[in-house]
Parts: sequence; C-alpha cells; structure tokens
Amino acid sequence: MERILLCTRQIIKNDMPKNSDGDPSIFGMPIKNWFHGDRAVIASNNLPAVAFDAEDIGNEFITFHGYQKSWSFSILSYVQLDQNDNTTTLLNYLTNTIVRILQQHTKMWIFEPCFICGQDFLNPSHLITHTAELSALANTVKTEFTQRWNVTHQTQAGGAPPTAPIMNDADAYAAAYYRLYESGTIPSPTIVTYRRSGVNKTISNQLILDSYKEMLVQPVRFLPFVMIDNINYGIVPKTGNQYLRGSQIKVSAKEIDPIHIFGPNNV
Amino acid sequence: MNIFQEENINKAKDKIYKGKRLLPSLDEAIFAKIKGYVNGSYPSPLEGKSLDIGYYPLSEATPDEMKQIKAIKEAVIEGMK
Repeated sequence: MERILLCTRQIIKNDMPKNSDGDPSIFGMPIKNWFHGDRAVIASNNLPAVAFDAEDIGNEFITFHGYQKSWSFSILSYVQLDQNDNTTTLLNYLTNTIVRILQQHTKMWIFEPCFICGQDFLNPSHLITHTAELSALANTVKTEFTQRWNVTHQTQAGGAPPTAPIMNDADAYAAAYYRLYESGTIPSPTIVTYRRSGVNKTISNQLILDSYKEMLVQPVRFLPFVMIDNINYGIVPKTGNQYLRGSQIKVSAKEIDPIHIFGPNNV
Repeated sequence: MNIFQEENINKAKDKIYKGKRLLPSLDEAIFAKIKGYVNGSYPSPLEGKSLDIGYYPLSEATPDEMKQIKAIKEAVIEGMK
C-alpha cells in the first residue's frame, strides 16, 4: 500500500496543471501540501491540500497460483470552509482534475527502489538504462510473448492469423527485471547508493537483491485495473475548532499476486 | 469454537468504530466531533442507524447537544469572518 500511495501521489503531482513557478496548481493557485496519510489537523496556510490515505485491502484466493488483491485507498482534497463560493469552485475543479488524471492511469506499475542501481524510481523506462543486466532477458520476454501469441491466435474462418503486437521496451524490461529478481543473482555486482525515504546507504546491489528476497519484497508489481469507485463531497471535522470542506475520491486497484510455491513440507 | 472467531471479532469491532470521513453538513460534522470523532474513528461503537450510515444523524441529538451544535456553529462561522 505504501508504494501504491506514493506512486499515485507522484502521478497526480506530475500531471496536474502548473502555475508560472512550475508548481501543481488549480486556477494558478498552488496546492500547498500533498500529505502521505490523512492529518488530524491541517493549518490554514497548508490549504488547499491533498491527502492520500489507505482504506483497506481485499484479499481473495482465486487459484493455487494467485491471490487477487484489491487495494482500496482515498484521495482527500481539502479547502477552507468558507461562506463564499470560491472555495467550493476550487474544490470542484481540484477534484475533477484529479479524477480526470487518474482515469488515464488504469494500469500502473509499482516499484520498490531499483535493486540494480539503488535509486527510487516510478517509471519502468528507468530500467532501460540497465541494458547490461536486462537486455538479454528483455529479448527473451519479447520472444516468448510472440510465441504465446502465435499459439493462442490461430486462423479463424480462413482469414490470416492476427500478427502479435510489438511489446514496448519499458514493459519488456519490467518483466525482465522481475526475472532477474527471481534468478537472485546480479551478473556483475557493484557498490551503489540505496535511496528511499529516510534511507541513504552505500552497499552492494547484490545485497539489496538478497534483502528483497529474504523479506519477500516484490520489487515490481503490476496493477492492471486502477478504478475510481466513487466521489463524495462534504464537511470534514478536524481537531480543535477546525472544519474543512473536502472531497473524497475512493480508488480501488486490483492486482493478481502470483504464488508459485504452495504446500512445502513445513520447516 | 471456531479458531478464527477471535480474529473476526476484532475485525468487526474495528469496523463499528469507523465512520465516514466526510459529513453531509456542518451541523453533522460538529455533532460528530461532540461524539468524539477524530480522523475517521469514534471512541465508542456506532450503533443502529449511525452504524448503517457511518455518522450520528441529527435526529439522535439530545436538546442539549442541539444547543451545543448551534453555539459551536456560530463560533465557527464567526471565526471565518
């Protein structure tokens, strides 16, 4: 959930209209704060603000090889409770903009910091920079995709079989990155700086991969259905004497979490 | 006894303390605060209609609570002027 919230926040910040200073804004008014988790109190100089907070996780055992997870979270937009129309208009446009941006991101990649270079990243195109480690695996992924397409797309009623679409490099590299993780060995380990929120460590990238494997961290996940469930408007009581006008966009993101091991003989 | 029962009871308990994050009006938002609402949760379980809708409706407010709501509302609006 942590990485899903952070990734969604970055996508929305990135795609929001910008003011002349380059800050995400509505009608030129910058969004003053982007909270990771809702806050009990939001100072008026931090408004308008947007908060990203977890709701719950649905876990369904759909087959021996996979769980379907449904990550539910909320995007909360806050403006001052005011007696004039400006704040309501601001809230309506802010909510609408976030909804429109999110609707364009039905599929989402979620990454942990890169175990090859240690950098925190969001876009799978980052992986294309790791040609030495991933290009051979990416080519295998593309070839296997075409082979599977050809098996499952046969001639129908005398017409020509449809040609396999060309898989884009970023998707192939993301799949290759997962294969490298599964193999557990980086061909030529190097010393890198591992960076994530609050952590800055210089270590071998093989050690990062080993830690991910030990902790069963999935370095790359694919959410094929990120959907907006509903949108509410209302008044939000905060601590003290604070009341805000707000909107809540409820989002659910579906993921098939592959399980390839089931039923080992205990310890 | 079902071995998962305790876990389910805890989940159910958690659910009945959680309310709506957004309230329909300022009056209901103030009433939620009077009932101890903080950041989506109540200190005591919601029951009956309030459990269904996720907040305490004004119809459940006592005359004293209604007076309190009115006074807080006036102070909030005054503070915004």
